[in-house]
Amino acid sequence: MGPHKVAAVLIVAALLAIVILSVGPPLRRLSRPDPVGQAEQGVRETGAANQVSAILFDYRALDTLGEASVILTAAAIVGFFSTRSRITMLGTELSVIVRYGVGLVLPFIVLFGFFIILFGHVSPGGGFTGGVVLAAAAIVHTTVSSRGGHRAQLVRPEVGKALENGGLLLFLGAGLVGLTLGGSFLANAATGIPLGSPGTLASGGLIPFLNLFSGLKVGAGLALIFLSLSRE
Amino acid sequence: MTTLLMLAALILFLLGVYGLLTNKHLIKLVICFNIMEAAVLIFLVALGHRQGAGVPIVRPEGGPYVDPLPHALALTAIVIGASLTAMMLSYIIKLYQRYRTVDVDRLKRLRG
Repeated sequence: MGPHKVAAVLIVAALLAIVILSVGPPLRRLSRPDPVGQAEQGVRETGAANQVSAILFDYRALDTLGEASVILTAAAIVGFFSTRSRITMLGTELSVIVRYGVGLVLPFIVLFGFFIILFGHVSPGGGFTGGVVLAAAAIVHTTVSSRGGHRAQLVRPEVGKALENGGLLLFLGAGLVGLTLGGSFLANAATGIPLGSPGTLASGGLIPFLNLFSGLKVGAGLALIFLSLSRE
Repeated sequence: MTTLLMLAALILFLLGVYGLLTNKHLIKLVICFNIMEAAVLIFLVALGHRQGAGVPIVRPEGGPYVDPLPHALALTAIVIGASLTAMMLSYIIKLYQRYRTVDVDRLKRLRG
């Protein structure tokens, strides 16, 4: 490794150390005192026990909309770049144990993904992590069941694209519901939507629906990215 | 404890920077990019940690909770990092199909 690279790494290390040591402790002081009742106030305002989901889908739902469109853009660009239609990468023949095992386990993976999505406002999880599990189910099925130039897909490509675009459109529709009921775009409690009792499935107002739509969208988008990359 | 976490995140980030500067293989550069991403996520979560507090899911018995805002920012950062990785990998595939090499030095010396 040449002396230039050593010098470059040391300079980056020095700059990073200066930045972190000057910014880190004051930033930690911002979150160190735990305001009494802040989390409980969040539950009262949003109805969701999972405060991270409350931030992502109620207080800052507009940022989640932008993040969902980031996935849409990435899937579109990767789909645009993969122009070949031959399947060259998925030709390996896996053993019979793998194929039968995956066939047994795949419904439970899909069920687990939907569980994480639908209970995202009660237990850890939410739309994005559940969508990743759904995409993993689709990827595993494609990897195991493809052979000889034929690519197996969990859902047809039209259904996958419909899920991705439909998820985003339904997300926008849910935001417009808040607008028509008298609040702002993507408003939850300000419009008088019943919040339910926190800790149960029927709570959080608009949050479970936003979880479901963004979970379907993220799962379809990631599976489409994999299918486009495997087409090369 | 959280200072140790921040130090670990800093060292991981520097490892990623070192790998980014020294590797010639494009796929290894993508891996180093992901290592730097993970280091930033660890730093984000370490910023919001509170002493003796639990996960920010409100339980009936109460108790102090960790700051939930860095967790939400980390989720967004994970998603964006995954999208960037997908796009970088598709670019690498296209580069390999056109120029038949994934070596950065050989790619730099190409003319047209």
